[in-house]
Amino acid sequence: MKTLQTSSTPRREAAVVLAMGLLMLLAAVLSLCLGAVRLTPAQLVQAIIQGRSNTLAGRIFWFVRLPRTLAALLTGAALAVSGVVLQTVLHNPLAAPNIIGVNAGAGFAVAVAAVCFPGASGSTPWLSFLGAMGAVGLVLLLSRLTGASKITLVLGGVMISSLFNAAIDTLLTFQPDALTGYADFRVGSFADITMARVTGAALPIGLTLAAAVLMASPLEILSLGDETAASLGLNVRAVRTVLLLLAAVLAGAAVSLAGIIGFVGLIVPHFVRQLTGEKLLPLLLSSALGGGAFVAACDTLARTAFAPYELPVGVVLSFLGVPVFLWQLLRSRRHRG
Amino acid sequence: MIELKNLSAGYGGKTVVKDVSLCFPAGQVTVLLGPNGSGKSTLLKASLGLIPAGKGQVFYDGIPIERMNRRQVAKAAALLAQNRPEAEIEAERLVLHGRFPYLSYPRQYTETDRQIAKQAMERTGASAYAGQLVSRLSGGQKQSVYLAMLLAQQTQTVFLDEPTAFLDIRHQLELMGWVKQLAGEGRAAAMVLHDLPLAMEYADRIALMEAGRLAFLGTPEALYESGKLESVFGIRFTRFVGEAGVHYVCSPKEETQ
Repeated sequence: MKTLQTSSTPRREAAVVLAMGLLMLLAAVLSLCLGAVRLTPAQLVQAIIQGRSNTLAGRIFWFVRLPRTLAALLTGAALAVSGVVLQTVLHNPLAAPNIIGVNAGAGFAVAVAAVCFPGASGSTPWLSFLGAMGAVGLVLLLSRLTGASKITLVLGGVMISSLFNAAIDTLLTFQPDALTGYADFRVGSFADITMARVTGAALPIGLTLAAAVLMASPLEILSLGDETAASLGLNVRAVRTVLLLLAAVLAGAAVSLAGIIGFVGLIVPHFVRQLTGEKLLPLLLSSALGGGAFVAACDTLARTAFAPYELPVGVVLSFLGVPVFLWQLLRSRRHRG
Repeated sequence: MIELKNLSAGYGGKTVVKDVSLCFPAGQVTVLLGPNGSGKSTLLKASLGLIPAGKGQVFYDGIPIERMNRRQVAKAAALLAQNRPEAEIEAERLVLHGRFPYLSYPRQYTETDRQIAKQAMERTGASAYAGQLVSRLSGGQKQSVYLAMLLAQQTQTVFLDEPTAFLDIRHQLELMGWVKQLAGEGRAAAMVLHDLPLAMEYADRIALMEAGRLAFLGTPEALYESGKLESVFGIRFTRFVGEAGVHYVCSPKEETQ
């Protein structure tokens, strides 16, 4: 990979998007084939052609691997795009979904559910989504009351997150039994994913991904700074709010699928940006595809590396992501130096 | 022509600009001078409708700004902003964004937009680094790219908020010459400057701000004669007539007493 030094032509951008698409396809095929029972590509094709047949390969494909692979792809795409949007809107390279309260809000809702309705883990996706939206709503309200600047948004996010995290800790202190239900959510995993959950999240994620891509142009104008964007005729405040809501829905839906998955929203956009620059359309598309590929690959590794034991996907993301991220940081520093 | 009538504006209940009446006539360079915090930048922002007028009104060719939408304003007046984050996009793409107010859905730049952007870059000398990332350009190169963007916006009025900050002297003079050229073509230019001699040399009119109010409006010569610069800035301001024309020098007041 070459660090972006000069221009990135449209052809280069298209090549990056295509490469990410192929990477995602590869990750998807590996995720579908590998696991406790290995499926050959031929078996895979056969399972698809035969539909929901009663063969072993068919059952594994339709009821285990496909929902899981789709969930990983959707989660990765949603988190990565959410990260791009937040980093651009807030002009902050460290912004990620957790910064506007998504994780803390979702976690709080799940912790409350684990305390109040210990058996009803089926409602976790909805509750976590609602919790995330509630927290983001509070952050937006707080920021609006204090002048709607980028810094009040980030500070509001940190405050609301701290408050919700304190509430989670309080709940778990008084009801330690709820910890089991909450812990699964906190480390993030696709272990008990079902097709119903995937289809439930696919619609909001698909729609918001499309909306984010359609808003690439105003997002790019916003990246030029508030004053310049406004002088070019952009309604800065309205566009920023809409984009933040899109990012929140994406991250909330991702969290509802997989629990809290660390820093995909930080690392994938950062990586892709080295290839595409800040031109938003290729950046959004490549991040969506690359994010999906990254999470699917990590999930495949999570369930095959120490089979029959399965690592939480969040753990693999960190162990794999951090070294790659650091390597890339050092590399770009060397290039600059 | 943009006209401010008894305009007051500010942020969050604090009035920064107080009761200013001023217009920016075509073909002239109007320079806003004044100490830090005297309301120059706020005046520019209020003129563009970026912050709402508290009292008074802003008119664009006789139409109150609140009756215009953002795009209409952006087609009439452009701003070279003072606060700009590092743009991690290619120079030509940035210049092309000057055409943003003219875009309609699905927001694709047309061949005409590209031609206008290209010509703007040729004019400001930014073509040489069209394909480079703006963040990697030098201060002078960046300014030429942003000027090209301003030009691509094709507005009757251009506002420049401290455009000479961080520029070396050659680039400062180049920029002032360029602004003068724009005015020569019949556009209205309004700029905030901190460099008094530069303002005296290039301005057609100077609006001197003091604590949010318009303390003086007139030609540089009239401003010099009024002695207002010395009282508002608390400095000594001297004029020399040399071989190359009239020169101005600022010096601290204490030294001369």
